[in-house]
This record gives sequence, C-alpha cells and structure tokens, in this order.
Amino acid sequence: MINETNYHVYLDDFVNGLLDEELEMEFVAFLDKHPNILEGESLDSFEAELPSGFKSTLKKEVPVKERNPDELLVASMEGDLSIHEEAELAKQIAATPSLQKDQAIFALTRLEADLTITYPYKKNLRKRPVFVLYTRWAGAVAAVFILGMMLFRFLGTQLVPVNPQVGNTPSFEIPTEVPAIHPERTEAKQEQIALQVMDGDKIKNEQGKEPKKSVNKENPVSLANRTFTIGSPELQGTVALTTLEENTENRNNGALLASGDQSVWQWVYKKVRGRVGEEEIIVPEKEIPRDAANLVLAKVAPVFQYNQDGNGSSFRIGGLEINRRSTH
Amino acid sequence: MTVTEYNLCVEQLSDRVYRFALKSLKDEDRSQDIVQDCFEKLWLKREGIAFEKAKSYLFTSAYHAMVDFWRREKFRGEAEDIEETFSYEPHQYTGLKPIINRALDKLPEIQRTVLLLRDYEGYDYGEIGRICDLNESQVKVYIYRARLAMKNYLGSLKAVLG
Repeated sequence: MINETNYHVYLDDFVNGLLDEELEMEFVAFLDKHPNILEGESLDSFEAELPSGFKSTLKKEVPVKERNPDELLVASMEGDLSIHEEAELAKQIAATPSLQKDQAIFALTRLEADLTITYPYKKNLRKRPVFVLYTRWAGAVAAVFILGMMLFRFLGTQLVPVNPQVGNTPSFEIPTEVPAIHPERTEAKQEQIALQVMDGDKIKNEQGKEPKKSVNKENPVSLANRTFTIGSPELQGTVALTTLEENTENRNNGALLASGDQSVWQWVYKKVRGRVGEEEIIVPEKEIPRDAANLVLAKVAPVFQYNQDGNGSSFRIGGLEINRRSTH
Repeated sequence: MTVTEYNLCVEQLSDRVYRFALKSLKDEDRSQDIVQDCFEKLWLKREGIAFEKAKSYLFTSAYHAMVDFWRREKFRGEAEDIEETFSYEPHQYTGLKPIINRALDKLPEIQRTVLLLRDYEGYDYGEIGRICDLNESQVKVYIYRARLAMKNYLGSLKAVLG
C-alpha cells in the first residue's frame, strides 16, 4: 500500500520504470490523490528520465505542445481536455500530418456495440406480475365469497321467501306435527321424508309438451311417476316426494308426483331447494309399496295447497317441514 | 423494485449485459449463464435494489462473474498470454470491424472490460471504477493503455497493408 511515508521508494522505481503494472497503477492513483506531495521534492533530476506520458500526470499545467500526443488524443476522445487545450491540440493536429493519422486511428478504437447480438432467452427471465396479483385477489375474493355464503346460509333460514310469480309473499304454515299415519310405529322407528321438486325443464320433452308419465294403472301398488292432483287441477309441474324408513330391513320408499303449473313449480322448486338443499334429494324408486304411498299422500295432502285469486297464485307447502328429520 | 420494473430491466438490459459478457469472454454459453445468474440475483434481491441502481448492479455482478471465470481459466492454464499472442495475423483480415475486434480481443481483460463499459455503456470513470473495484485514475490509465494498444495494433496493420 503506497502512502505518504513510503512513496519515496516507489517514486524512484517509478521514475526508473521498475514498477510492475499493478504498482505503477497504484502509484499513479496515489499521485492523483496527492497532487501537491511532490512539490517539495527535487524532481528536476528526474525530469529528464520521466516518461513524457506521465509528466502531465505529475504536473497538470504542462503546455499542450509539450505533452504526449497520444495522451492528448485519447484525452480529447474522452472529453477530458479543456476548451483551451482542445483548441491548442486542434492547431497541433492541423500542423502535423502524423497527428492527423494517429487521430484517425484512435478514432477507430471507439467501440460500437453490435446490436444484432441479443440475449436469446430473454423470455425466460421475465416474471409475471399478473399471477401474483391474481393470487392476492383470488384469496380476497375467496374470503369474501365464503363470508357471503356463511351470511347467506345464516340469514336464509330466517328470511321469508317471496313468490316472484304472484307478486306477494305467500304465507307458510308449517305444521308443528306431521299427522301420524302409522301409530303402531314406535318412537324407536324413525322416519325420514325428503321432498324433491324435479326440474320442469328436464321433464319436458322436445316438443315442449308434458312428458309421458310412466303411469302403471294396472298396478295400483306402483305409484311411481303417477300424477296426482292436489289442491288445484292447474298444477302441472312435478313434485316428487320420497319417504324412507330407517331401522327396517326393507327400506320402503314412497313417491308422490303432483302435477302443477310451470310457474308455480318454478316457485316451489326455489323454495324447496333453498330450504332443504339438493343434498336432501332422494330419487324415488319405481315400485313403491302402497303403505308408503299412502303415508306420503297423507303427509303431503294437508300441507300442500294451491290457491289462486286476484293477486295471483299462492302456494302453501307446509309439508316442506317434513324435510327435516322427524321422529314419530 | 417492482416486478414491472424488473421486467423492464430484462427488456432494456439483458441484451447489453449479454454483449458485455460475450465481448469479454468470447464464450456464448458462459455469457448466457452469466446473464441468467445476474438476473436471478437481481430478482432475489429486488426488494433492496432501486430500479435506478439495477443497471449498475447487473454490470457489477456480470463483471465479478467474469473475473471468476478468468481466474478459473487461468488456473487451468487455458488463458492466452496477451503479450505473446499480440501479433498480426493477415489471414484473418476480412474487413475493418473484425480487425478492431481482434485488437480488442488482444487486450488484457481489465483493459478490455473498462473500454467496453466506457464505449458500449457510456459509463464515466467513477461508475466504471465502482463496477470494477478501481479508482478513477486507474480507470483512466487503463482506458488510455487500451486505446494506445489498439492504435498501435491497427497502425501496424495499416503499415503492413499499405
């Protein structure tokens, strides 16, 4: 490390050209940082030996015509000369053909980037901000959605549904007790009844007519897909009720198909689906024992009413309550 | 630095870093690796690097990677001795640009590096010094020596070719 205490050693070697490249660079840097350090030195004895290129480094105010022409030309290229120095150099160049030649060659050392060389895998370096943004938003949206669903589920059980077809709010009279059809059943036997409203669009055939119903009039035992008119002949939709008895070896299923007006059906479908959820749907079997069918009829009929007046249609389906598991 | 700013760096600087590395190393695969490594580092440290400093960071990283490469090559004894190979090879003369490139290739690595940073990127002495761990005077001398060596090389060719 060259410093103010040992630079004399390096100065001698520097003047005599004995420093290797690294030390020479370090010495030049040191002199640059300490431009006045040689003021007290008797450099006169060295002056003749100093490389002309470095004289200007040691002494800043050397006239242009006395400085190394190569150094001047490079300094000119780099924009390191003052206006005055540039003017003097220009005079020298104009008067010296060899300098003109050197200047032309130096100009060739100015490198120009080859713009045709491009990094071929630039695409792989790019990152996708959209993805990060999407992830953040997705989390927020999901949180809001879940919150909304929870709120909806909570409030949904307390809201009174509105009949969009009728225009007024129908009155629901949920029976506190479902009539006991089979008193002989013990409390140990539990009965579950689910109500299913089938999609009217699905049961319509291609001609838009009411679909064929697989009514088995020959077999009164079978009530599968049989049409019943309950409350009003205008009912044209299809409502299927299914019961199933648990704790019995042979599970009995009963189904009731009630026709109904399409608009009424849509309304019922919404009410049913909103109250019991699709998970409550039980597909009725084709062959249904009479007892089971009677049970369904008996349970549904009292609470399944359709009325029409000047305000429109109203539908009482207190039987929806039977979707809740009830114990007899 | 935001992701958008990072991608802007990719658009604006990847080619330049690649040219810098390729001109210095003359090795496409190695240069591509260096570019990829530099941008990977930039991405990992993007939180602490301002967009305005990204260019300097990339070139500094590239330079350090190149120094590592040169050291390994020298260790393997594969590096050329500049002084011994600095000679005219007339059979490679196909135009002015290849000759200039040849003169550039003949330079010592540090001289070639500072000259590339100076001419390609327009960095001043201080910026080059920060990238290459040099002071301004050293940068100035290296640039002078590089141009002088190239001038002598080109001048000798001109004398030979008439």
